[in-house]
Amino acid sequence: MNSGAFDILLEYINIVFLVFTLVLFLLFTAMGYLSSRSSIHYRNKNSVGDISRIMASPLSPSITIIAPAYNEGLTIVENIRSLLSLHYVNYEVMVVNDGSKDDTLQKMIDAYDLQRVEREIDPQWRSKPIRGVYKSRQRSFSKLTVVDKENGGKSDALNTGIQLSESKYVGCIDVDCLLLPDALLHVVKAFYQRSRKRVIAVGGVIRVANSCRIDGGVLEEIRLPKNWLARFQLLEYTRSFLLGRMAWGRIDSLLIISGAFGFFDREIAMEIGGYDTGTVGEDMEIVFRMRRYMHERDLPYTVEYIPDPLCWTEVPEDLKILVNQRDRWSRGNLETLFRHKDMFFNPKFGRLGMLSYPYWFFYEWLAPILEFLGFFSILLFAYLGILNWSFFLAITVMVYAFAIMFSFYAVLWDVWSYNQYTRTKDILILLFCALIEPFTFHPIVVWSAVRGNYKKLFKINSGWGSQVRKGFAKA
Amino acid sequence: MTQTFWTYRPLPLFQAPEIHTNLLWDLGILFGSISLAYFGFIFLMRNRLSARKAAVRQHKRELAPMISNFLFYDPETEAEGREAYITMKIEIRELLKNPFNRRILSEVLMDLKTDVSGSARVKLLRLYRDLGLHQDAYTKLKSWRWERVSQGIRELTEMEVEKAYTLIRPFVNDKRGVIRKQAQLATVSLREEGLSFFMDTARYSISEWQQIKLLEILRQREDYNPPRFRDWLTSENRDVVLFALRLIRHYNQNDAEPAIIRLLQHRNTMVKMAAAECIRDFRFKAARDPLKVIFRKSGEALKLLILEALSSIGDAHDLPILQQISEQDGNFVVRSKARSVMNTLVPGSALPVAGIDPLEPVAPQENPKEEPQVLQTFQGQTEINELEVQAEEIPATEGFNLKPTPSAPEDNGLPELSEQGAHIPMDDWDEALFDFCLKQELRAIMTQAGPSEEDPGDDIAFIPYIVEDEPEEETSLQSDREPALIEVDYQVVVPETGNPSEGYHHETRTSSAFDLSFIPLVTEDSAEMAGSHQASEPRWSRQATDFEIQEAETLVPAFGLTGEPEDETSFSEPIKTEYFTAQPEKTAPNQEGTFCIFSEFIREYDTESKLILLSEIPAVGGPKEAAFLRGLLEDQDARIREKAAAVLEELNGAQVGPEETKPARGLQLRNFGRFRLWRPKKERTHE
Repeated sequence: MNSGAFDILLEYINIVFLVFTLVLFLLFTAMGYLSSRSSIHYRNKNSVGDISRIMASPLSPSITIIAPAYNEGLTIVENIRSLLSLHYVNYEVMVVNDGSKDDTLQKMIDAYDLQRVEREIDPQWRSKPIRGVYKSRQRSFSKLTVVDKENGGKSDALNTGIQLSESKYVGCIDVDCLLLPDALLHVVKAFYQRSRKRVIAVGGVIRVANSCRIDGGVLEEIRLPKNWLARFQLLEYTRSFLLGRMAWGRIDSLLIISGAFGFFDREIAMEIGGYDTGTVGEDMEIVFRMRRYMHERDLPYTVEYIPDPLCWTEVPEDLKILVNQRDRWSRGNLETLFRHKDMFFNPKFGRLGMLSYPYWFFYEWLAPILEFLGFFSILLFAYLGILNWSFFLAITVMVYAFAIMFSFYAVLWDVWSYNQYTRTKDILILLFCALIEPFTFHPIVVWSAVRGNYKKLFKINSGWGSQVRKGFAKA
Repeated sequence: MTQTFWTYRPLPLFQAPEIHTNLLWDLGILFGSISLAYFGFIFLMRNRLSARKAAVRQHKRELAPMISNFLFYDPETEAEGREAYITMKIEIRELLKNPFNRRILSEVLMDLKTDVSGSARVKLLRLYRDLGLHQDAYTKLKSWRWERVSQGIRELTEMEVEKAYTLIRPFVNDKRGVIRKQAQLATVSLREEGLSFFMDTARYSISEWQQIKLLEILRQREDYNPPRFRDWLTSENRDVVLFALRLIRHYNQNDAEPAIIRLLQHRNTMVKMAAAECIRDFRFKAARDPLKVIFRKSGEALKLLILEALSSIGDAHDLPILQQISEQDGNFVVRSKARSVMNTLVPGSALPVAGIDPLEPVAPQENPKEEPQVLQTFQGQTEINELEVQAEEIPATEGFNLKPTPSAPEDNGLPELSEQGAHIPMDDWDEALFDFCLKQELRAIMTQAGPSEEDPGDDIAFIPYIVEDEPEEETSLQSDREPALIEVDYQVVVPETGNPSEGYHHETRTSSAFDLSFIPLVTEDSAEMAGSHQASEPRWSRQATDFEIQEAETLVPAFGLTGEPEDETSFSEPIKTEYFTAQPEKTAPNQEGTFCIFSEFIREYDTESKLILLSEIPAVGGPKEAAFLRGLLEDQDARIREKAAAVLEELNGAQVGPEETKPARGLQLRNFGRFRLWRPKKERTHE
């Protein structure tokens, strides 16, 4: 090939990258706009009225909170205590011990005075065998149900809970999550506030609880994490939940509900067969299938999103655990997108097919891979001396400036909406994180995503990995 | 750089458009500038928020003691105190000239309202009005911003400004949702008649959340005299109907039975569920059949509700359909619930089926004269939905498959009789086990009946063999109209002796403990069974006729005949009740007194349903229907009379054989609705 053609090719590569980036900017700007509108509307709408009044209403629906537990012996007792103290009457806490190898079950039995009870189980239901169902002898713990089953993974444990539940709605949470006392009231409101559309799922914001002061399962003081990795994740969560998901929720195109805090219409969840146990991205996959189920039947439905900080969780403070987590997320992402590939630019699915799915494809799955390849291309081109330095510097500065702008905007809205980090120093640290994130935290995320994709494409066996919890009590 | 010919010349069309790097720099600077602006805004906003928060706190600190003094001021106090009070009043009036102070004071009063009660609360509400703060709320009602309007409405509601009712009322159907909802709450809250107004005029949908809040307001109202909510069951607004149903249930207004039962047919599932909940709580027995009708097309939640309702209003007659549900419903929870309801209605009617190990087989009885031989088994099928009139003759050695065919219009949804089904022979141990258990129960009955009763010994061959824990009490006449879905396997019990009477007839004991008259005796012609019973009241008599007893020797229903026993208690303890009548009534087969299954259906339904049922008679009817139809010729409804006459005419024209032809005894298997009757093998071989 002569050098002229090669130059043209390089220039086209530049253009492709530029267009890709500008479209991303446009999408992010649109997200910022939509999320702002949505936040203002939500705030005005919810500034009137006191939802706590209806916590004991006879019309309040039943909810089962399903919390899978695997080797959670360190924190399980405290976590259950927190779940049992929610402000709602008609709910049940169902802890599914997914074949823990530690003393998780025994600790629960001892702490809550559990005894084995008989419970009929559908023999047709696909999940690992149940060893026993336990209820407390004490009335004060009557809301607690513990299911002991063979290990089958988080999805399998959640499916068991969904199957055993008799409630109208099921909440699938991580057992180590801390729910605020009013969380279920907000969830019920989200499920019940529509009259013409059926709310099939409700998701919410996940906040970072690292370093927060928690006493007796109650969030006493909100503090900025001391660990830098956790701080970066806090910034990332703020951006993602406050801007990204809020915007997708605004246009009813939310395709993911966090596995740490997701509530579902149990009837629909049962209709679609519960969680898919064959993927590690089960939280995204179930929303895809529930949406498809309703869409294909032409039933009016929606997925609600609650921006209030109702669920607090520990994020990884260890690099290895973080990489494993992000690796798993990217594998789950790929699996789900591949499984529902027929939605890609499929007008039959409306906004989901034409906007939401392509966004996930290009900017959640493909973008890290392109970034990774782009990085090595730059090194190669620089080595070969064919790098267009002026273009490279200009686009880098532009992307960097935009990234900072977007992060700052997220912090701004967080301050406007909730203003939970009261110390100025905390805000300054958060803004500093935004400044250095593109060079520090972001490459880790990109690397994890590439690793996840590599594992998936080359079928390298990799499961969930593990996360060592410190536990709120000791945080 | 030198540009050669080969560099650009051949590729002009592929020339990449130029990227203006300067534009990228400009964008970068723009984004950076905006970032800086955001940085500034973040702290600016924080400062403003903090400053406002501090100001509010400060004002509240100043105003709170004043308000306390107002609230707890005693007019009987001495002059010094009164002077201080007046001074404070002047002071607060001065403060209220500042709009910010007015807003803060409103907030303080609203906060305080939740903390005080009794006279202090009354004073607080009066103070709010005395200070003219409600005027601010009125002003908010005129705002173009929906959030301000809704805030104003809320404030007036919270502070119980009753005069605002007329101002707020127009917002009940406002197109802006938040205002509308707030106005609905206010209307219901401010005046007792507000609920009626709201229910009468609501045009928009009422969300579940809104209904919860409205109910909560009503619950908190003291000395509330609720209106009769049945008046809104006819509303065109679906949500008004739904809310009315919920209120009816909450306030125990059980005076709307027909309307509530009617609402079971509503298209909306929520309405159906609310109606089913009312039926369950109020125990509307008339809803039994409609509940069964809507069951099949319902979702899990509604099915469970229907089953709950049936458990409170049902009786032994509902066992067949419950049995069918417990065996065939696709949902495990529903199946479990059905079994639970069965046991609620008739304890022990549903026995555990899963995880049951078979008992050791007991050696079968060798007495051929007394022990029927089991050739075929019924399996799984217990539901009886409809009675089919025509009989079919079945070869003795063939099995039968009652698997339903897709409902053809001409067969009225009934299953067709298939003679090609799998023949399932019974294992010896099954037979022996059954005999063993039966004997045990019979002995128990004898023991209860007293020492003078004859020991049944091994004379139990007349009892039909039923597998799958089929309870005897299900041999009831069932008027269920559920379409057939089930496959019936069954077994025929055949006495080894050539004389069937040896196996059966001698069991006609005088002891009441062995009165089997409750078992419907089915022959080719039901008229012979029904004896003197009225066609319009097809109840199985305890007094069996000679012919019934005779038939009992040869033809015993396997299970679940539909119909209603005269005494329901006989079904609750089936084994302990009478088996055969002591003094069989001699009744000649009487065509006029024949039993017709249609009478059971028609008796309970409206005119339209009756007409539909009548139109089905020519296809499946026989002589007994003719008798029944003649009875309908005197019906009060002219349409029924006309239809009956037409059907009768059609039926008479279609009949080939004379009615008086009594079928020969022998093997005649009838598809009676959705179940089969069996006869001894020997009988069949006679034919």
